[in-house]
Amino acid sequence: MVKLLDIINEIKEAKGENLLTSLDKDMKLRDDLGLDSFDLALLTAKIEDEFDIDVFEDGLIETIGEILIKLEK
Amino acid sequence: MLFFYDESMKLEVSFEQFYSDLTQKANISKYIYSKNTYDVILEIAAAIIYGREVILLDGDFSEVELHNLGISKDDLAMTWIISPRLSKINHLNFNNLIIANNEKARIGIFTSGTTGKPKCFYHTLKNLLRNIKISENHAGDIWALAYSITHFAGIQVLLQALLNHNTIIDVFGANSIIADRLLKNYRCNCISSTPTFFRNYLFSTNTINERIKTVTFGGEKFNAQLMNEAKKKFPHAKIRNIYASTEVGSILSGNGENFIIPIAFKDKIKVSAENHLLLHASLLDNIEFDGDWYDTKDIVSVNEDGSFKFLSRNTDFVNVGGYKVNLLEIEEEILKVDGVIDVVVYGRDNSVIGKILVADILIIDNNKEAEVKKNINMYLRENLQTFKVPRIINVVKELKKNRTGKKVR
Repeated sequence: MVKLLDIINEIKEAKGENLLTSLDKDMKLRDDLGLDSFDLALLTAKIEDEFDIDVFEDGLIETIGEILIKLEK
Repeated sequence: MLFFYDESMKLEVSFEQFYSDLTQKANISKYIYSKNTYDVILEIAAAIIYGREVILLDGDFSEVELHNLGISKDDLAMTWIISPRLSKINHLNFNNLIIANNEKARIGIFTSGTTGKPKCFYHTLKNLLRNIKISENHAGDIWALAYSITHFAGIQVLLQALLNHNTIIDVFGANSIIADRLLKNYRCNCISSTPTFFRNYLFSTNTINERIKTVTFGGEKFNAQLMNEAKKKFPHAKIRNIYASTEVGSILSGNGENFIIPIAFKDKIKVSAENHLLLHASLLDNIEFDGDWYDTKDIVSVNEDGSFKFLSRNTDFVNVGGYKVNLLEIEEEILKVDGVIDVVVYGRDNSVIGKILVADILIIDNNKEAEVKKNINMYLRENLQTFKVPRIINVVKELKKNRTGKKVR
């Protein structure tokens, strides 16, 4: 979860947005975190580099919790 | 008089030695394959003097690469027996011997293979000599060979030097510091290379070279920033930009970004409705295609005075989330950011948007990585549409190059 928070904050920082202090499993990537498709593309690339898993491989993911489930597999 | 110098092989050859080696040759390899550039030069010179057909292979091709090109060990052993041999080759008869066989001699050159399998294209010597200038003005030229000798542009440098009796200093593959030293120590005054070579050379050496009188760019897109830097570092040089391709050879030359179609080619080169550069079949030796016009897939913009400049090659586009992105446009913007020496932008497979843009950059001071990355990001977000901003920026020590010295995406 900490690593995922770092990745999301890196993306937000590059966009000049405020950083998050924590993540919640129910947070929606687009609605709550304000990530657009280009941000999600970067998110999946960075997760892939870090964990060697393409979390969006089977289709779009909506929440932080869904990413965590993929990473736990 | 010195003909050829190769520091990496510790090889220094005089013209006398070269003509003697050539006179003594008893056969010519059909496939020219050697790590020793001088050996390659000798084989090429023999092939054109005796009017034979040869194929050039990069000396560093592995067995697997040769296999992939369909070339076997038996092929590599094939030779042309020279009979009858010329009893004397020297600087008095050398040019006449070359020109005598300009329709018979053919050289096969493989494309750089940035996309797909490399293909072999044959060029008659006549075609290869199309842009070679022979005159007293070139008698004192000393060439820095900064291209691979087995590629089209390297052959052009070789022929230009051979026919004008000029010294060649091999700097291909040398790093910027060694190349700079060789250029100065051997008093080179002509150099021809890719924009990638020049960008690395010009931005990593501070010294000004006043001896250089001719600088030729070719093989990749060239821009005004590089032109300005070249003018600063080579203050007395005439700077030319050549448009050539392995398929068709040298076609156009310009003194900056703009090209004018020469009168001799007025009815042989045109621009299509889609702004593709088209070449007439009569300019092409050995390519099969439908119709009279060959589509180079190079995209140009035509200026009001009829001249034009290259915008990009077809392979310079990538599809990002449904947007067709011109990678060269992004590279040019990144080069405007302080601290950046060179950049290559490419698409990496991505399950969300198809391709995500990645920029590999070379920077002047690696301690400023974070600052440069931040500045690139800010600058691009202000100046480009969002989908054109590379989301991943990697600082690298070296940009990957292909066999011709061009950047690899």
